[in-house]
Amino acid sequence: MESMAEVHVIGQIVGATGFSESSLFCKWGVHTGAAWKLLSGIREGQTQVDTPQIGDMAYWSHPIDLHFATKGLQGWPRLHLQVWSQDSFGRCQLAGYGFCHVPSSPGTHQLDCPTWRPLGSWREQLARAFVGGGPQLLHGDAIYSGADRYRLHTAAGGTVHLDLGLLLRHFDRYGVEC
Amino acid sequence: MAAGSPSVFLLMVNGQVESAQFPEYDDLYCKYCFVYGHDWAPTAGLEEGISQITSKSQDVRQALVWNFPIDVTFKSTNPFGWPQIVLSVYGPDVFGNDVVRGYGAVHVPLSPGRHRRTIPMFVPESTSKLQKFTSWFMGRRPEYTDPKVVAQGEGREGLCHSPLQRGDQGPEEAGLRHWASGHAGCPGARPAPGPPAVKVSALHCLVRPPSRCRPSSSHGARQCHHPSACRQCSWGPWGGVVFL
Repeated sequence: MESMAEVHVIGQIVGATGFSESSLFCKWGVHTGAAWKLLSGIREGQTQVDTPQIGDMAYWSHPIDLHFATKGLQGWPRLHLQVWSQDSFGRCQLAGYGFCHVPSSPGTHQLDCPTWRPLGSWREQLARAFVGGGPQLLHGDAIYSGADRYRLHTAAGGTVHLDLGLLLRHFDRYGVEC
Repeated sequence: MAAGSPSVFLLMVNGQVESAQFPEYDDLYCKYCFVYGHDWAPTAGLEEGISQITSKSQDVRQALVWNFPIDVTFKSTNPFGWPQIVLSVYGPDVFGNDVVRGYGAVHVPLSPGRHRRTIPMFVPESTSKLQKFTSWFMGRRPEYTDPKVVAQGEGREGLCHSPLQRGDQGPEEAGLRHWASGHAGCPGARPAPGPPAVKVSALHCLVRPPSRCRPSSSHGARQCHHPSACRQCSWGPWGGVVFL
């Protein structure tokens, strides 16, 4: 346990741009391989709803602080994100799915994560345009896995911006360059 | 160094809360404090501060300059819970009462050197239309009793779906939903009436093990002193690049 390689991911989900909806919030989570263990921190969370007063960028400033121990490099952590919008009645509607790999080099990184949303049939598109709602993924793993993606027809959403810092420890003991 | 033995390191932070852009407000002051994990402890300096009240500059910049110093040193054995600076900005409303104009938080940079951060500010909004009206009518905004909640990631969904119940808050502060946010633009690119944002500049970060447990390996502390710029030193066990 003590001799395992360790990874710290420290940073923020800063906010999002490019979404046509206002009043956005983000559900996020971290997916890792089986060799990875979360020692401390929260694996998933949700931001507050942000309504920009100036400009079109929604700011969440949502802190992330994760401490992993790992026995192998396979299954390097990836962050998956779901951006939702909330209308004036409190109804929530999906605005985009996205994922990004946690960088593997130590230091600070500014990441931009593009998002997409399922389009559905023309009836569903029409219904979404007028009453809202729209199709959602039944299983969230399609956000960060490549399998079964070919079934989907999607449209572009906005971009989520992240600031992540990475600290690696004990990787040199296993001959991993970092 | 033996594997797993607690390795203490120090994080020195100094810098200043430089200025702010709040196009709508004037005569503002700011408070700063640090939020950090259980393994962290401040060893020197002030971890809280409250600035002077500043008025907008009379030129085109409309800048609120505080030039407020921050100088604090932490020690820890574990990077988890890395310190965050929490800023809250207050100013008088038309009746002269102090009202919060923005909250913001950012992690202390992980890499040593000089950094400048522009922190987007946001304020909580009441959940219900009635609370919105009463807070507008009474001239009182919802506030956090403890600004440190903006550095926590948990419980934010309560700010969206259901009222955030906090026993120690007043009635109109109990239900918080939207955080209305300002915009932090690049100050160079947007010199005209800017977005509400606070700039923290010259955060010099220095991470080093304290002298009593300096590692004896070849990765030991290398310190290079620069008279004016930041000082750096590197230390092996934490994967050389970041803990420079």
